Amino acid sequence: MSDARRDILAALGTRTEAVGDPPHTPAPGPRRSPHELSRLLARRMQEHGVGVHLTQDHDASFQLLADQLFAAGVRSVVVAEEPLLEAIGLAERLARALSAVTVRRPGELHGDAAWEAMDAGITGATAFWAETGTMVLDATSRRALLTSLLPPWHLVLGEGERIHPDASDWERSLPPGEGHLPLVTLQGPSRTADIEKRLVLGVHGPRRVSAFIAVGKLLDFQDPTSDDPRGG
Amino acid sequence: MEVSLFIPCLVDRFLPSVGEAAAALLRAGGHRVSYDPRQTCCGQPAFNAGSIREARALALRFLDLFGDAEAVVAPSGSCVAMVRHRYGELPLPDRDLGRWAALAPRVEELGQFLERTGTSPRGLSWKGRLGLHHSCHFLRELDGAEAALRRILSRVRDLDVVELPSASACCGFGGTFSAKLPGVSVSMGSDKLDEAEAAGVDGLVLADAGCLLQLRGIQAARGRDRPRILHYAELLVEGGLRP
Amino acid sequence: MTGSAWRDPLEQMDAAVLDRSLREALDRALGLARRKRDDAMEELPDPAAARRRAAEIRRYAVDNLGALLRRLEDALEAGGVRVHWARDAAEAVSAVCRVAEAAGVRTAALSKSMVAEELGLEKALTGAGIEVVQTDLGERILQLSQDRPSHITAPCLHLRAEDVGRIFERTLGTPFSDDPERLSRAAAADLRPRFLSADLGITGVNVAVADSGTLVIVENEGNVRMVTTLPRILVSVTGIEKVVPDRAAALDLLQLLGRSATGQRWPGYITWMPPAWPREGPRPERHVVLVDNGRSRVHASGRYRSLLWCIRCGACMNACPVYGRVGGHAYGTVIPGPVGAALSPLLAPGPGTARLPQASSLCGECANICPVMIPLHSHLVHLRGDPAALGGHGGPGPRERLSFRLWRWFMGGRRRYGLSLWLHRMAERLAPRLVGRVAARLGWGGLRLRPRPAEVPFRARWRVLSNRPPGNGGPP
Repeated sequence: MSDARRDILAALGTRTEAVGDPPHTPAPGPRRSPHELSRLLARRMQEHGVGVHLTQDHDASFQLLADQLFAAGVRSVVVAEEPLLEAIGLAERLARALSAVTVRRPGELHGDAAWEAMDAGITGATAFWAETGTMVLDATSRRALLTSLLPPWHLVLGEGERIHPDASDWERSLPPGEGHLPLVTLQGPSRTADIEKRLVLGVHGPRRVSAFIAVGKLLDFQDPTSDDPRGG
Repeated sequence: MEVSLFIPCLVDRFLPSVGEAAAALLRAGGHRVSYDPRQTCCGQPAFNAGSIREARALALRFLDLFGDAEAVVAPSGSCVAMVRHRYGELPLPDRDLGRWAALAPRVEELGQFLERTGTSPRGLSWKGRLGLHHSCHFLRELDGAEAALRRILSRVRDLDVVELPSASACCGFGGTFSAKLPGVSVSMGSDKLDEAEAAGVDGLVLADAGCLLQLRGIQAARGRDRPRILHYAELLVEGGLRP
Repeated sequence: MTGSAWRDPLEQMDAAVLDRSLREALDRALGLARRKRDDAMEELPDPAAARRRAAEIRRYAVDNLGALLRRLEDALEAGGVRVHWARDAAEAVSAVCRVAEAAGVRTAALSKSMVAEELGLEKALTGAGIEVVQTDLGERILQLSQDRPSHITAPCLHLRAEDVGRIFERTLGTPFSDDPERLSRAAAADLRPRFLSADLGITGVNVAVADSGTLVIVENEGNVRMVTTLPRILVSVTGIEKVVPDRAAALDLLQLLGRSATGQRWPGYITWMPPAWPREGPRPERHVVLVDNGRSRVHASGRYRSLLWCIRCGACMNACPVYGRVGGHAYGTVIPGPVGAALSPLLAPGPGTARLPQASSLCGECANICPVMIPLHSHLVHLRGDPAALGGHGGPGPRERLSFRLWRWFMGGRRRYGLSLWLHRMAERLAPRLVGRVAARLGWGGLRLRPRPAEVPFRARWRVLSNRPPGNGGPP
């Protein structure tokens, strides 16, 4: 294999260092207000099939989330082990509020059958990009990844402070040298249109995605977005 | 201006009225028009087919013939694109590349030249509804040619120019492509004609000789002569151009 | 499709254009793709600037390819990812098979990868006794029916729902259905346990970020997420050209990739895999295979180097009037359409690919739509005259060369040219049927009639025109 490496690099030329600077991303566009950003994010996410709710605070988010789980008749839910979710004690509060629901942590699920029994998975999001309606998830661990992937319903709890206008703005906000970020970005439910271009949701990933974003601290909170017609 | 007419080989051989119309348009614009009968072909067919040596030979001949001209004007987008862009990609000696670089900006498509010099025809009238077909080189390789043509046509009274859905789709001529993939080529041209017929337009107006031969050829095989397939220069002459 | 004798692609194309049901499938799929792409691009504040920036990024990356690959390798290896270099398909396949063998792999799950197709990786692994499952729905359908992809982002667009229904009935034992939703769920249900039990996951790579060693993989279904999360060994195969310098560059490209490919603002899922993947906890054993397979030769050519900028979005084939009438199979290559017609003869020179550059009317719509501004139609026309670049294949054939030498003689002087006009008119007058037969062989007889030479060509009219007094059509 080192022969291959030598030959390929030789064929590509002798320079070991890049010449010149890579092209720069242009300066950011006009600033949008937090209010506009959160509305844009919500609109875009809804367009992509996410049931998105802008709430006053995490308590309001929790209430809405618990109501939806109850209304949907969910029997088991797995809650990711993440700072935000720990900080608001989500797993414990859910267990108390929905006594008929089994609340699990990913570390408690052993084997495929245990995971397949989960009706819903709850995670946080490390960032949101308003322009494209994107949620950015930290790939903290295998278990965290599975929480947002295997159950048919993925619910996200987030904070308005983490809304960025777009990917470039988010990128600029990262501490320098933080190149090695394991991430997954997602737009909404899993989709395919491979057969006759007919859209089908939830083929391998979740079929239903909901997001509850607390924006009260971010702006003079007026009213939450109206419920997604899809009941997400 | 002193204008040297560059008449594409297809026009000379098959569509001389397009050449006459071009000359008439230039004269009506007040230009002194000359035509060097030693000209033959810009070399595009050879280049298109990968016969680079032959294309090069004709490019050098073109540079010899037109090198000193003040303005070279052709009623054909693809030939102008060949000279302006492709000649510089041929394996020409440096000295000839220099000649090309000096000449290329002076070689223009007819409508572009007329608009640029403010000598486009006015006061014409042509009654009817025509679909504008965007010849590929014209649309994509000659900056501003499309806009110039639209402006010229917009001044023709009673003429309704419509944009059919497939106006920018290639007619399928493609030079040697018409012989290499004839089934696909004819399919492309047929779709254009079908669309024009379905839209009920009186004809299609376009800017390139190849498109003309392609579409008229398919139409002839259908035994029809409607809708009309017109070069815009022909249309303008019909519109009452007085040279 | 498999087992069919080789047929010249141009012949295949002129046959495929007659296939009405293929044409309907293509019209439906590609018209939609084209509209969605246009809408998504128009939404950008400055689409032209975005394309220019993407082109600059790719130019920089490809011009500095050696340096960036070294940086990528360093970052990967520093993070514990094993890097394998492969000069050709055989070396690449052998690297993957060795990894699989050493780890005792019995089942492999493969997410969509054009490079893996190019390498024939599935077949090689199967031959080594490993059960391979394609996990992208379109690719899975093709695997079950032993068919080949006909498009790079919509691999089975040539199939109707009832075709898929019959395939599943035969291979999965599911009751017949022609409902895409039901069929998709049936495939997903079949694949689910296979994901969960696969020992080895194999992915492609859309973008490789050199400074951090991050592999970026784009999808909508979730099968890439499955393949990168579940198996204990993870191999990613990539062409060497996919590298970019940093994350900002990757984001700029990704912004256009989704929009160009499927009209999405952003791809449904993007997996960003640095060497440390995931952040904590048990990690898969990771390997990256850097595949050359002719790319360094394209790089060294200089003139065709921009073909390596391609980000495999498929927009060019969505826009191509030829592809839109003949579909992907007729090209006979892993990547069809305009970029395939230009790259395949360079990557895999031979009689099977040498004529592909001729399968284009040079309309330029591909170059017009390419998110990284590759002058595809220019490459196609130049390749027609460059047999040296194609390993001696291609270029005009002997008959064509002779014709053009003759043609050049006639075009070489005024009198010779005049003679050609006269001969042409005489031939039409005295032997029209012979002329007709020659024309028909060139496709100008039958559904399209040949033009006739004018009785008085332009140059003869000019003599008359130029003698007219001014004000009457003559010169002023």
